[in-house]
Amino acid sequence: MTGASSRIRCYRLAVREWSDGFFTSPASARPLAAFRIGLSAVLLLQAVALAPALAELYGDRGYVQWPIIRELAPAGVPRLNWVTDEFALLGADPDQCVRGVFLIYVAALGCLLIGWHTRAAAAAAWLGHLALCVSGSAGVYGVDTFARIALFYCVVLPVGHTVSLDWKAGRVPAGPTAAARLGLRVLQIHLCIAYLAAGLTKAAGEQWWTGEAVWLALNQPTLARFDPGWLAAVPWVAQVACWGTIAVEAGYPFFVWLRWGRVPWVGLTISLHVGIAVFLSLAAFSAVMIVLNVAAFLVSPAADPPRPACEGGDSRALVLTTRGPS
Amino acid sequence: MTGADAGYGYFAPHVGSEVRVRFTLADNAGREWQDELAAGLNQEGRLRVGSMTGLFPADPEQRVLRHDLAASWAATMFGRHPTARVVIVRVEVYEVPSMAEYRAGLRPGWVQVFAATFALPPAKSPANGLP
Repeated sequence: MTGASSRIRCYRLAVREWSDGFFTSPASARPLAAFRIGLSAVLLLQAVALAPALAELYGDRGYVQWPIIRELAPAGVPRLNWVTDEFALLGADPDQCVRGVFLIYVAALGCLLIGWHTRAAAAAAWLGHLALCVSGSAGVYGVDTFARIALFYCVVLPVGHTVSLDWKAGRVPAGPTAAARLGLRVLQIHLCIAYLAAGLTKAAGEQWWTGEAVWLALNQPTLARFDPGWLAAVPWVAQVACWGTIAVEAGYPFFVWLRWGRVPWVGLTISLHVGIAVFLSLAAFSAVMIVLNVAAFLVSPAADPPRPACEGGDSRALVLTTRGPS
Repeated sequence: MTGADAGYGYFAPHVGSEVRVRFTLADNAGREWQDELAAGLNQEGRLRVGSMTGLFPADPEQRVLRHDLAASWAATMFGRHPTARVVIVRVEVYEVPSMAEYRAGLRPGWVQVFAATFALPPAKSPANGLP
């Protein structure tokens, strides 16, 4: 009994030591900074593309008018009519309010990009994105789901703790922190869950085993960039593409944790998203996913760059060898 | 709000059919012309319009949502074309044959699944004797 209980205690200690190292050993915030910069850059570019059609896509008299949206969107979530109702008392036009919220969202993304009052900027960007997406919920697609999640992570994770104006001004802690490690793990585990779910859902559909899924996707008029007719003559190519997609997505949560598997698997995943951008015209979605992959698994959390010398700041370079797996 | 309830089954478990909306408009003089919801939009806008048209229920029993969406799209057209008095909304689904059917000669094409006509009430003529 005594031997068994001491063995159990040893296992517990080992597990605790491993989990402490895995989740909270101090790490650089560089991967999170890459996540912040990449995400805000992509969303800013997407905002430029959306700007010419704001009223049509998000306005109260847009393509899908707000009374219909109210029936479709969940209750109690911030939306544009909360703003328009308030400003209507001041005589503001709903379309002006939509433009105002959009401008605040874009400004917040700009502040997030440069890391100026990062957490407040992230909160403003997240709320602005949420309000736009709820009011334009009839037109949202995959990129909006990931953008909303990613912006929320920017609110709660220390994404501005390096390579930011906050870091340069000494407003945030310099050097490796447990919070940065935990934030990185949250991002990594979330990606693993997302890819596993995507892979398993595809594996549940017959079209993904016969190759018809890729054939049908490439034939969607809004997505197709090339005439896919040739594919019907070589159906095995579509089948290999389908099986490859399932393998890459379902294998993601297993291979990215292996020392030898991480770079090749993330490389395969990025190739998959490049393919989606090229062949299915889903550029913004692919760019967000590539940013997430690069930040979560390819940017080293091992060492911080030196903070530039400034008043009140720590100008020393901090290099730390982390205990847990990166 | 955080996206924690999001699903990740893009194009899964099966790839659906694309839906588009086309419009035939007519003015008081009987002139007719065509338009599309996504006309003039860039790819990011077209993707969003694709999501909107994809909301159109395939189930004819969902009469209210079908009518409301068609009315909303018709209103967009009346706003875009101030001279139009009548808008016919046509919802079409892009049907893609399987690869085997394609090899046998079948080709993808748009199939109409819904049509509705929306007309503005006749404009009031000015009262007699007033400028």
